[in-house]
Amino acid sequence: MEDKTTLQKIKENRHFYYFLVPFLLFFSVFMLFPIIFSFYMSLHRWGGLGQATFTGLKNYMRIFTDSTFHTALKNTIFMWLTSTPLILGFALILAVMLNQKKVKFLKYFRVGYFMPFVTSTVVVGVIFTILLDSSFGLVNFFIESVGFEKIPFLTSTTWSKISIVIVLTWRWVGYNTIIMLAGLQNIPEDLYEAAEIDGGTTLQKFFYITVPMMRPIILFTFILSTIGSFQIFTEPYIMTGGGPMQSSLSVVQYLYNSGFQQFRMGYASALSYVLFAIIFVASYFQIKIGSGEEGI
Amino acid sequence: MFEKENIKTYVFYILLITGVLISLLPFVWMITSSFKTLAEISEYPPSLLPDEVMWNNYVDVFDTVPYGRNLFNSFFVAIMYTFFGVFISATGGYALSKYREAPGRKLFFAVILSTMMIPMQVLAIPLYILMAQVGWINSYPALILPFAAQGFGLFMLKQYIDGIPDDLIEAARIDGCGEFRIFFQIILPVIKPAVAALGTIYFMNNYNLFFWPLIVTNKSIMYTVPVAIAQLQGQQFGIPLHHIMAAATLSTVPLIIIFLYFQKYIISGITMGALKG
Repeated sequence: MEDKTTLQKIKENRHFYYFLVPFLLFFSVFMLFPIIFSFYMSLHRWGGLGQATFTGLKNYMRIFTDSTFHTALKNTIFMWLTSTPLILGFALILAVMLNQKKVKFLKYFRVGYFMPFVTSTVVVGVIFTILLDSSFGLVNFFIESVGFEKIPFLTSTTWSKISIVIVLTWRWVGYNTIIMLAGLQNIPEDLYEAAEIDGGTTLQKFFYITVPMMRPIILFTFILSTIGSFQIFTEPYIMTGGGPMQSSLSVVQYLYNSGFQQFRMGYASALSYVLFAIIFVASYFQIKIGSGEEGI
Repeated sequence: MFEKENIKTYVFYILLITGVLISLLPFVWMITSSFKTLAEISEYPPSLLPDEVMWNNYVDVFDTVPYGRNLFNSFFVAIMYTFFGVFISATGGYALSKYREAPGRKLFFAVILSTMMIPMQVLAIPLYILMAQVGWINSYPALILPFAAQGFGLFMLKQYIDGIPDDLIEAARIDGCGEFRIFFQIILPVIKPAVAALGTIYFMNNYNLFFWPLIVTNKSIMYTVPVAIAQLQGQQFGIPLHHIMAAATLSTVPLIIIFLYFQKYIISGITMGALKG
């Protein structure tokens, strides 16, 4: 048994390859090849037609001094750092509320909160374009009826980013609530019972049992949100076009503009590699945290 | 004491209901706006219900853009993508789960896993060039195939197949059952819940996909619904908000029905990733 050659092993397990080949084929052509080709492209200048010229690391050097990229990166980081705590904070509170033993209509609440996630981002974008309109938007109607002045959500450089954050929060709270609710249901009931016997208050139970027990799930959702945030594209594309004056331009929209509007394919490839590096650093933590029970 | 408990319960439900209203109000607004005239949508103060129900918006949107075709494209592409993507994830997941002796298994698994977090935007440029080279711009294969092999799907189904006892497969082998028959007649029926969960997630993701169809189509008859709506929104003069809202409603309602029908699977699919990943 021990002395099988690799060839024999391959032959014996040939069905492994038969079963894996369809996936592997499409994975190689549409995933591995683009990853490598993208890097090759990023070392060239290419306008979409004709011959590409090798430029070495020039594209990457340019990214460092490209003020539009810096703006886009700053905007993206702003949207990430403001929306993520809002989303996860609301989601955790909501999940704890929905996890109470005697909540009535739980099924309906869950569906209601989940609905924003089901809808396409484009549809969400067009709805909020109307809702947040500076002259006739419903949100401004509410703001005015409680005595404040209308806010130019989509047309001011300060508010455009915040508008995107509002939409992100609205869309992603329900999704994260569902994940957190599943996590909460995994916390052993007797922990809470023991705390109750010791006279623990609701708040104490939340901070000393719920939060520590939920740490892995919160971390997981945090990393999902981080990765998602660096991919923001549709919301600004639909609602503000990245404006006014690039105030809501995201990294991916800049990538899109460079590649598909200005046809600077090489530069856009370099941008995509920088984006990849940023996301890789973020997801590295997830792999670290998630490993241990991978079962390889 | 009794009173205090009661007030607490009221506040609790008021908060929950307010949250649900915030979640749902934009949908209500979309639907009621889709029956308003263009002038009424941009009226201030806004009105919840239309003065006069404009069914015409739903007719006109099919005249201004080939929206019937766009709806067909979206459904066709999403269905094909779902079946194909889930199928190759199931076979691949089975291979990685149950042929533990196969040389190269760990390497394949590690490579696939390591690409799981790569977003499609990173691949967009080279994929676009590839599509242009093979003449697939404005084609169904370009909309269906590129993101069918997802590490996420493979991993999810592998995890599920890991839970199937090897004895079941061994017993079938001893009975003279071929490897492919084992997969189709034993494994597939057992993993149905995971397949349904992944399938609904794939369908929703693909139906709602915007970035890739935006890049790979430029003829209005090949647009999927999100691109068609975005093009309406992107018009320079006189954005037809009433048509956009009608189009948005038409594209969202089927999805909500699908969601309500499959919600058990969607929710289990999402939480599966969280608790095991």
